[in-house]
Amino acid sequence: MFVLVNGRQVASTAAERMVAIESRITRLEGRIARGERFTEPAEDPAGQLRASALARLDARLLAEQRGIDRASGRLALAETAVADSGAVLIRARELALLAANGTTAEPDRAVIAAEVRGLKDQLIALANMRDETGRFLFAGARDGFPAYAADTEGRVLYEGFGEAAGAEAAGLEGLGPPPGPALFGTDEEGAFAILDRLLEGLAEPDGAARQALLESSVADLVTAHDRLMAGQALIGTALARLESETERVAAGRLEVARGLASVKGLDLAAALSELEALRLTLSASQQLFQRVHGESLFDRLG
Amino acid sequence: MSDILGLALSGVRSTRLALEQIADNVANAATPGHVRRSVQVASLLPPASLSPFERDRVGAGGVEVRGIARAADLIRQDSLRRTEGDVAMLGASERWLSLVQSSLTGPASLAQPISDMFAALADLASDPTSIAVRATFLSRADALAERFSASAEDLRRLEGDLKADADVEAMRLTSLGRALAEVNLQIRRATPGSGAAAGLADRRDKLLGEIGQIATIDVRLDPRGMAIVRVGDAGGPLLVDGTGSEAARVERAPDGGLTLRLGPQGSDEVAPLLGGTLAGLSVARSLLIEAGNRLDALADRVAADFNDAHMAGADSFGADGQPLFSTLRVMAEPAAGNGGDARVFVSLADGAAPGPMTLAFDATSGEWTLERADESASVTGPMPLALDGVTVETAGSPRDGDLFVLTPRAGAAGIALRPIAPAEVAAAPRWLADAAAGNQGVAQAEIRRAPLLDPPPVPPLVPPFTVHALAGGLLELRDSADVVVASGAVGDWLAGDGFEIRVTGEPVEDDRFRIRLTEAGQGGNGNAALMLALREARGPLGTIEDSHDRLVAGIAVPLAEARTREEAARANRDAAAEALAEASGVDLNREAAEMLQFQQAYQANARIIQTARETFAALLQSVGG
Repeated sequence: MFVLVNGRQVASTAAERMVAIESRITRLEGRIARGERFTEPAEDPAGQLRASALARLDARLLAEQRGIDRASGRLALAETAVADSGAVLIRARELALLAANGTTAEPDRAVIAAEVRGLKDQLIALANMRDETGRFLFAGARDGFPAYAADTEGRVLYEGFGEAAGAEAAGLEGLGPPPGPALFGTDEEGAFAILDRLLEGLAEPDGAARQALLESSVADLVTAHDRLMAGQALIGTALARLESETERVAAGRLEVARGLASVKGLDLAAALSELEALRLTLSASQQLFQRVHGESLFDRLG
Repeated sequence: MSDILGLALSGVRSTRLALEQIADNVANAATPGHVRRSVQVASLLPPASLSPFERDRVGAGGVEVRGIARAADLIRQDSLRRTEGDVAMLGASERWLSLVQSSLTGPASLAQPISDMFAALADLASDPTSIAVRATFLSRADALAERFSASAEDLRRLEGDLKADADVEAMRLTSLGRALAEVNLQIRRATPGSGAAAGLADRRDKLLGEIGQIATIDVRLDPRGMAIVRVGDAGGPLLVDGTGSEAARVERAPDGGLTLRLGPQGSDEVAPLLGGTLAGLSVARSLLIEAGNRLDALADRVAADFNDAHMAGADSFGADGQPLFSTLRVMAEPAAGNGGDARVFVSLADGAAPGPMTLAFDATSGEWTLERADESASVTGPMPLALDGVTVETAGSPRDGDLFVLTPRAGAAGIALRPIAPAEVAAAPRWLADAAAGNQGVAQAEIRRAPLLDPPPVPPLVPPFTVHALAGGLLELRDSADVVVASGAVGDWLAGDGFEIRVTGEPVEDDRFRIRLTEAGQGGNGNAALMLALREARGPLGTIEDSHDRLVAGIAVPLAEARTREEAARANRDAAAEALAEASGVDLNREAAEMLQFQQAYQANARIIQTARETFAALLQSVGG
C-alpha cells in the first residue's frame, strides 16, 4: 500500500488555512441565515451604499404614502361636505322658486324663511367641517379656527387665511382642501350673502321688490351651486391625482424591493453550493492533513 | 592497538552526540522558533612524528566534533519577519476598524434615526397640529441626538482603548528589546559552536520575530551573532545595539495617527512605522479620528440646519420657533486617583458657553469647589454649585481630594434636544400670504422669513401688510397705513420687515395679496415642509444622508481593503513560513533516516572496540601462554 509520509512540521500554517476556511463557512452561514449577500458594510462597501440609498428611498416612499393617505382622507371629507353643500343650495333654490311663485302666501313665506335659515345654519356647519384631528377643512392655513363666523349683524364672514395643508409630505403642492372663498364665494357675493338676500326677499313686504330679490337669489344660487360643483370637480381632480401618486409610490416601492433584492439579496442556490464546496474542502483538508502529517518514518521503523 | 580503540572511541563519541542532537531536534519538532541542529564533525589527522628520528606513523586520527551547526537561513528569516509584520499590521487595522465600523453601523447606525426623523417630519407636514405627531417628531429628534452622542462616546472610548493597546505594544517592544540585549550579552559570553550558543541564537531569532510583529525592523548580526536592531529601516533609530536597548513609547500624532519614539525622553528619536502592529494601530487611529471628525461635522450640520429651519417658523402659540438642538454638553470625568464613589451630574443653562472646569472635594470643610480650569473664578460650598451656566450636583460618598474634570464637548458629543414641548414645535410658517378672495387675475404669493429692516423704519410700519398690483405688472408692498414699504415687478422678491414676498403669475390691476404674521392656534405646515426639504438640501458633501453614507464608507472601504490585503499577507506569510521550515525546520523523516545512519555508525564503532578488545585479549593470551 502506498503510504504518504511527511515528517516536516508545517502544522501551524496548515491549521491556519483550515481556520480560514472555517471562518469563510461561518460568514457564509451568517449570510444564508439572514438571506443577505453581505451582513456588514465592509463586505461590500459599494453594495452597502446602494442598499442604504434604496432603504432610504423606501422609507421616504412609505412616508409619502402616509402623506398621500392623509391628504386623500381630508379631500374625501371635503368632497362630502361640498356635495352636501350643493344639496343645500339646490334646496334653497327650490325654496326661492317656490317663494317667487305669485301664489305663495305670507305664512308660507315665513315657513320657507324658517327652512332657509336652517339651510344657512347647515351650510355654515358644512363650511366649518373639521377633519378627524379637529382641523377646519376650508380655513386654509388658519385651520385652528372656524373658516366662517357670523359678525354682530349676522353676516357670515370668511375667517381663514392662506392655503390648507395638503400632500406636501409627498412633495405635492396645492392638493389640500380649497379655501372657503373658492367654494362658497366672497363675503359680499358668496353663498351666505345670497341666502341672506333670499331671507331679505322673503321678509320684503313690497311685492315687486320681493319678487326682484327672490328672482335674483334664484339666479345667484345657480351661480353659487356652479361654483361649488367646480370646487367639487377640483377636489375630485386632486383625489385622482393622489390616487395616481399612490400608484407611483407603489410602483416605486416595488422597484426598490427589486433593487434591494438585486443588491443585497442572496442567491441561495449559489450560496448553498459554495457552502457545500467549502465544507468539502475543509473535510478534505482535514483528512489530507491527517494522512500526510499523521505518520513519519519513525512509525515505520521496526 | 590503543590507536584502534582511540579511533573507535572518537567515532562512538561523535555518533552519540549526533544521536543526542537528533533526539533534541525530534523533541523540539513542535517548538516554535527551533532551528534544526546537526553535529559538525571532521576527521582528525594522525598524530605527527614524535622526533626527527622516528618514522611517520601509518594510520588515522579518528573523528572530531567541531561544533553544533544551526540550519539557519537569514534571508528566509527576514522574509518571514517582514510578512509576519504585514499580517500583524493589517490584523491590527482590521480588528480596530471592525470595532469602529460596529460603532457606526448595525444597531448603532445613524441611518435609521435620520430616516425616522425625516419620516416624522413628513407626518408633521401632513398633520401639523396633531400633538401626537409633534411629540413623535420630538422623540425622533431626541433619538437622533442621543445616537450622535452615543456614537461619539463609542469612538472616544475606542480611541482611548486603541491608545492603551498601542501603549502596551510599545511596552512590549521595550521589554523585548531588553530581552534581546540580554540574549546578545549571553551570546557574547557563549562558546561559538556550542549547544548553548545555538540555543541562544534560537532565542535571539524568536525575539526578533516577536519584535518584527510590533514594528518593522532592520537587523544586522555582528560576527559573534549579536543582533543590532533599528526600527523602520537601516536609517531608523536603534532599538538594540549589542547589549544595550532603548525604551519605546507611542504618542498621538497631530495627523491622527501614532508616533513611535525611541530613546530617553528629551533625546528620543521618531521611528518610522512601516509595518507591524503599531503601524496598523496608527492607520486605524487615523481613520478613527477622521470618522470622529466626519461625525462631528454631520452633527454640526444637522444641528445648524434644523435649528435655522425651526427658528424660521412659528409654534402653536404663534411664537417664533426656538433652536431645536443644543450643541454643547459638559462631561464630568473622575480623576484616576479618586478614592470615593461620588458621581457627578452636570446640567447646562440654555445658551451657556462655559470653558473647562474642575470640581474638587475638601473633606475637612465637607464642601466642594467648582473652578474654571484657568483658575480665574470659582465657587465653594455645598451642592448644588453653579458657575458660568454649569450646575453641578453629586451623589455618593466622596473622599478628601477627589477631583472631577468638567470638559465642554461640541460636535456629535455635544448635540442634544432642547427641552421643547410638542406645542412649541414650529410646524407653521412665521408669515402667511394669500390672494384676496376678489382677485381677478391668476397669481400666487410666496412668502419667506427674512431679517428685519435695517435701519428700522421711522415711523414704525403698521401690520398687516398687503401687496397691491398696479398697472403694467408692477407691485407695491404697503402697510396698513398705506405706507409703501417696497415696490417691484411680478416675480421680484419684495423685502418687508421680517419677511420677503414674491408674486408670480398674472395679477391684474387692483388685485391684493394679504400678508399675516402667524398667530396662536393658526395652523399651516409651511415650516414642517421647509424642515422636510432639508432631506434634499445639498451641502459640500451632498445631503445629510449622503454625508452619513460617506462617514460609513470612510471606514468600510479601508476595512474591506485591509481584509483583502490581510488575506494576501497571510498567504505570503504562510509561504515564507513554509520556505523557512523547509530550510530550518525539523523533518522527522530526515531525523529518522539520520538516526538509522548514526545508529549503525555507533554500532560499527562499538564493534570495532569489541574487535580491538578481543584482539588485545588474544595477544595477551599468546604472550602469556
